[in-house]
Amino acid sequence: MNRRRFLLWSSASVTVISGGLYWSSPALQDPTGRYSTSTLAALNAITPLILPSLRNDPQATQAFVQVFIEGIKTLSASQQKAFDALFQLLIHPASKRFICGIWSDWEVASPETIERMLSRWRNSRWALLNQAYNGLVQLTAALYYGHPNQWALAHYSGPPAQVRAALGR
Amino acid sequence: MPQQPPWQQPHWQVFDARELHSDSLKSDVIVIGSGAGGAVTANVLAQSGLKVTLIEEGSLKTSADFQMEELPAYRDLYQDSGSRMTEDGAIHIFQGKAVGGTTLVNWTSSFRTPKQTLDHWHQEWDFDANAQAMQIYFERMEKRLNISPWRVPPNANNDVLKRGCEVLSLKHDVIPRNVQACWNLGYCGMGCPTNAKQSMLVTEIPQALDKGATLVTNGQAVAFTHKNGLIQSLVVKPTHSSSTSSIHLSAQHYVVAGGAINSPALLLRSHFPDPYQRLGKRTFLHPVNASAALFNERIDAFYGAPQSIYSDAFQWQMGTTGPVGFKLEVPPIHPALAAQMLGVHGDTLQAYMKRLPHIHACIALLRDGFHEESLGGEVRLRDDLTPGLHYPVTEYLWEGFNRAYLAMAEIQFAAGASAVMPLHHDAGQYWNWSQAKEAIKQLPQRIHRARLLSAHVMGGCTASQDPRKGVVDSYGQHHQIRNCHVIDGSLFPTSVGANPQLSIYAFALRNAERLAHQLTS
Repeated sequence: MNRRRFLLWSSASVTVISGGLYWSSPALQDPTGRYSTSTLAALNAITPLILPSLRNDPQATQAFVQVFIEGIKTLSASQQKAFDALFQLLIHPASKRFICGIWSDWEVASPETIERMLSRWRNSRWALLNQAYNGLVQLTAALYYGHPNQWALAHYSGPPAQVRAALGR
Repeated sequence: MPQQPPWQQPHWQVFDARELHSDSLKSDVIVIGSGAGGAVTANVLAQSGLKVTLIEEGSLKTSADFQMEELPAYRDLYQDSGSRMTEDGAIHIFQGKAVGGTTLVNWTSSFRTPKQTLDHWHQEWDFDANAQAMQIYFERMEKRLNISPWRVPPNANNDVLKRGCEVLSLKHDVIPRNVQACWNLGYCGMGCPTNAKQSMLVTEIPQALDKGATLVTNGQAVAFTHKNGLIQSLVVKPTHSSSTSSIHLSAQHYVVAGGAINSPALLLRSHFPDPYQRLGKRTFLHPVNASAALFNERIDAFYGAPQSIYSDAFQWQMGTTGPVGFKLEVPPIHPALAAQMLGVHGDTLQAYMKRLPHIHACIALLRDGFHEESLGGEVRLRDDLTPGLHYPVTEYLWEGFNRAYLAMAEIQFAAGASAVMPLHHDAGQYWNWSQAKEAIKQLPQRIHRARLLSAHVMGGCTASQDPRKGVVDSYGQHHQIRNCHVIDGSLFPTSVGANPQLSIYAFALRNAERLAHQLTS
């Protein structure tokens, strides 16, 4: 990364994460608390790269993104704020380009570009990007594999049937 | 069939906070928090004839609610839906939030406070924690909660730790557990579905209710009002009410037992005098790092008593106040926790998850707070007055994490692991011990790359007879506010060096009996 790009990259991210650009940022949520279409587009694009079993299944992906958003709403106020900052990073034009490396709309971003973004965030020497990666990937992975519908993917059959029967569950 | 929870007793006084209005309850003592400290305290005080109100921020959930599923359990039974973290996001903190506190969701390991710890507290912190005098309190709580070493063979996950220690001639032993007629299921962390775990929900709290104590659920203790060194009232906000109105409850005496983050936070919000700037300081976590391993055989680490074997081989070997010691244990591994802790995505995540039944994990719990450089963290209030824990991960701890990664990997290979994966972004899969040994030494010591967690929060209201060193005295009496005690894990001047529940029970029993005597004589 050249110096100019690095400076753009770091200044855009710091500003976005600290909330300084909120006035010029696309809104994350509409007045009813629903996430904006651009936030949803970003999540719809990224989720199948975290969870390969959702690749080529936009309907299941959209359904899971709703689960993910509902999951965020159960977190503490400070955690929710952190996710809002992360979403700003994904959709703000400057950070989307220079931090996420996505120059197109999320809807048409290639899987390779998104995979590059995730790997770069995970392996970055910049702690803030590691943190963004951890927040996004860990919550996604936990909510997905934690649901009984996905237990079979982990060859986990849940509480033994005789135990459930004995307990009336 | 398991015994059903005794929550239908008609004579019990159990309210949701939104049903109350100011001064609607007459109490001698208000106890805030129904976990290990608060429940024992409430029961002791109720048994001595005092009128007790026990206030809990969380909901009342009983075994009928416990579905053996991670996601609803994290949402309903844990602080911040299981997402509590240190302020820089480096350490994930698991703390309970429901009637029974963390005792409802812990993994039942019940150790006495190590003698080295008690001696250290006594000598360095003027904390009256004489090892000999404490024995009777450990014995009594062990009897009350049916604590004894687990007699059933360990599950395969714990057996890896046992085998590895045997091969390497490392001292290890069986973990005492607080269970009765345990079904050996493995769901302790999601609330015991059979009432086998002798948590506060099925022991001290029902006994206190039988003696006339009142339980208030879904009530958050916002702050105390106080004047001239005396609390006048407690402001409580119903958590399940759309209304923003709060109620004021008053009593002769108040016991703070919200756990080692919420207790100091309550005193901070109340602007309690703190002339020596001790409040919220020295908060400890037993910070944990972890190493996963793959085995050819099935481990099924999601089934069976989660913790039954431990090793203290690395706990005290370099002295009480030397380089950080650590305890080795194993965690249960259910899908959500595993998916989260693996810290990978895409095909790598999917490949690991497919092998979940073959994954073993070992954890190292670092004994923070004993060395002079190990100051722990500090609870501070955020702008919205919720507590945040600032806990720097220092070089002192990194050196310990590194030794712990090495110790865990060597044990896992000795037990027959086909591959070992320290849970660190820069670690790969290692196929033999010599490869792992070289690679682990190179792991960057950086937060957000090492996956760190904690299930044991201690300190923040340090107990010391010396008001310059502590917030409260050895028995929990606040140094400046006369009608206030703190009786929970926040008293401890350092971490415990063992899973803390029995330490909290024993000190709560001792301190509550002394308080009961003071209030009734």
